[in-house]
Amino acid sequence: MLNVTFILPDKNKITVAANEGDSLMQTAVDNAIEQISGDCGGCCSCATCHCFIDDKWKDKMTPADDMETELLEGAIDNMQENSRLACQIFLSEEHDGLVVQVPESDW
Amino acid sequence: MSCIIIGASHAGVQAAVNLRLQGYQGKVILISSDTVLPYQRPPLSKAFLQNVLPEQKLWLRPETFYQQKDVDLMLGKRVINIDREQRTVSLDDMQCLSYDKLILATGASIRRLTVPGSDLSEVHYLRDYQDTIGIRDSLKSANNVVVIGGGYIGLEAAASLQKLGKNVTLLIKHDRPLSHITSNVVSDYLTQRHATHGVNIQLNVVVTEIIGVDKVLAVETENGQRYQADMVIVGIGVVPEQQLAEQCGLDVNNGIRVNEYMQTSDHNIFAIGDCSSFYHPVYQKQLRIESVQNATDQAKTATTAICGQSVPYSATAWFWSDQYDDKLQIAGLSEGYDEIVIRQETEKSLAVFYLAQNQLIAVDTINQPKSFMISRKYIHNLPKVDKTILADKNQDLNSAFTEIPGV
Repeated sequence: MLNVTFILPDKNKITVAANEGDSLMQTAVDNAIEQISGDCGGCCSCATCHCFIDDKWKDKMTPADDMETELLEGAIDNMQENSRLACQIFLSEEHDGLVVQVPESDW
Repeated sequence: MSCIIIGASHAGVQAAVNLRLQGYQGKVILISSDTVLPYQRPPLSKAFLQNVLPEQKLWLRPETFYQQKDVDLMLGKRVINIDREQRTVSLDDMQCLSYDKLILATGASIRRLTVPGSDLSEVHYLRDYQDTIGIRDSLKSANNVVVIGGGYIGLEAAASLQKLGKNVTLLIKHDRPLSHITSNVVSDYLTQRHATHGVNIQLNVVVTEIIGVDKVLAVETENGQRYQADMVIVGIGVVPEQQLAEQCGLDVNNGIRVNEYMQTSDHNIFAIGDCSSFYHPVYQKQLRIESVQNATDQAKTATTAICGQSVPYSATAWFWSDQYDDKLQIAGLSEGYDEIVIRQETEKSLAVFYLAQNQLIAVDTINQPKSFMISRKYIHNLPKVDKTILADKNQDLNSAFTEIPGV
């Protein structure tokens, strides 16, 4: 188990326990972070799980592949360098304490 | 105060989630005839069929979620009657539950084969959790699999089984796969991909008999061909599950008729997802859409109305399918197009834009997610587009929507 903190659009912070091996999207959905809806179930098809990864965690992230990058570029108007799709981030022990910012839903 | 939701797939579960999210104070009862936790359907023909998605990742929400949100999840129960006057529903275990608002999220049921031999063992359908579990079980001793049907289910099942190393024959009644959904361009691409991966894909074939003794041995087609089979998977479409609605006198016609707030002809009863038939204000026609997007978005419309705000439904339809390493994404509805424009980036990356009277009504993309996403953003009001930019892979697709000649 590890802890992940979501900062919601209203600045509220929610810290939840996550399972190793789960995606960040799954963790959000399981914990009722409803701004991350994950409509396609995590197969990188819908971009409804867009989030911002706190900069200091950047080095511990597997970089986005082409599919994810293209989806983000097409979908997100307020895309930033730290924009990611939560369904493509798989959690491991080294992500304990991860801080994720959740934008207002783009949809 | 209580809201009963019948059906706990994508639409029903989303409705329960939203009721709580939108501050609904009453009781929320979610009734499912399945005995397992509510689950995602798309992986049933893909990752879950291939046994690469663990069961706990198939669930839409963990079990604790329903308790935390005070949703009374009733599994393995079937509603047998709705009494609109008393506002009650009766279950198959003799329970009778009262509602103030009722949401029908009853989904659709599979269309069955009717040719001789259809009831032989090892003739499978693919709609529910149990179906996929049954197929996975049978696959242990099956090598030759015949898949009947060229829709999403047939194609995805064929791709999954091929990946599992089976000998797959795919029999399609029409002259191309996805013939009701897409253009020749996309159909031909998919046909080619299945053939390349070693699927024996047969077009224009009508199945006349399933041959076997107790258990299936072969599938025979109109032209006299026989395809050897240890197992058959049938994916020939679904019909809306509207029996309960019909029984209690609601308006039904290829789906349960609803208004723009997903309200049926009884204002206390809503219908959402695969089972609902609604008028789409943008496409200006009566529609019934089988998709996750439609299920979840209609759930939001219904619960918003139940919570006292009325926002008419006008969401853009979108779909996806994964076959082999190809990702097909569709936004909008292409029926009625009079022109197509193709944007090809590589041999394996293309977008097909569908226009009707110069307005963009839909787009299909294969391995071109950026074009899908950009189009999905703009397509909701069927925009006029610059066709030259649409077709030119070197130009920013956004500008096809924002820089319209003559506007």
